[in-house]
Amino acid sequence: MTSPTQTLNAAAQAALGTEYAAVFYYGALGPQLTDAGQIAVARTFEEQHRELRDRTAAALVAAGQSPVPPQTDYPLPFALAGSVDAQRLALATETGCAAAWRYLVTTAASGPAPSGLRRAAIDALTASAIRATRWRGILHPAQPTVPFPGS
Amino acid sequence: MSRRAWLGSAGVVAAAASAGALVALVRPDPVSGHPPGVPDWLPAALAREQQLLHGLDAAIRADPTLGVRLAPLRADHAAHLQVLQVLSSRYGPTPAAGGGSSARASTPTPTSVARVRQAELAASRATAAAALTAAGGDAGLLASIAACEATHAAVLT
Repeated sequence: MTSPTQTLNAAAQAALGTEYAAVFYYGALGPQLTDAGQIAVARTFEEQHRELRDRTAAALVAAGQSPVPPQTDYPLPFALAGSVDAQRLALATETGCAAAWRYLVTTAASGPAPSGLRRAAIDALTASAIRATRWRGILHPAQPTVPFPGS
Repeated sequence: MSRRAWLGSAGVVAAAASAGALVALVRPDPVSGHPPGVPDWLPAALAREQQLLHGLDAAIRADPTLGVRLAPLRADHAAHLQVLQVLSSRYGPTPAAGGGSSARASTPTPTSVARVRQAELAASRATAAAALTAAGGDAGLLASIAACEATHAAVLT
């Protein structure tokens, strides 16, 4: 039977995994973007994911855990054939990250959890939701937000 | 919204997830158990959503040209309120929020985009704080609502 602590650590590792994937996907989608402003945004968002990835991995190490390693490859969910595909992938990436961080919030609130963990997960969820809104505003300008990010 | 503003809002939130905040994942601190009955945060969360809807309606009445821009935000808050009402029904009768009525009377009604944005930011902060004390899935729900309200502030920048 999985203990609450194991579940919590698995959720944290899963969040780290989505941050690895986010860095990879931004690297893949960036060259497909043609608008200079969007390229700059993608670079900034990629850097934010890179920083969060590193903080999360370092926190796991500090907690005596071995961070899951990145995968050697992250298959694209669909072929990238231009800017719109790149924007769609960026949105999907942020949506996936938001879901992972929301799950960590729920897990941290479901049993014993270190102080600060829930706050960090809430902040990460919010950051991904804001980034997703940036891409959704390009793809779906009439409906740039969703009511329940991460769900 | 300018690119700089977008980058800033996401960056500030990302920076808030400080290095130390995720430390000690396997050294759990006790989390207080979920109290029986209606959780403390629920009446205030319901009141916040009602207040935000009230403010958005007032802003649209004051300037009908804002309707197209604010309608998606209003729909999000209507969804929040609906879910919280369902949650409330599961917990049983929900007492009025402490100071809820007086808060509505004394809180300036947002009638401009800037004031709506301020109200969204304040709501996001309050809902995130509630997410720190709620239990289980309720915490995830509140964190999600807080994130949504932060996105509202971002699109209004």
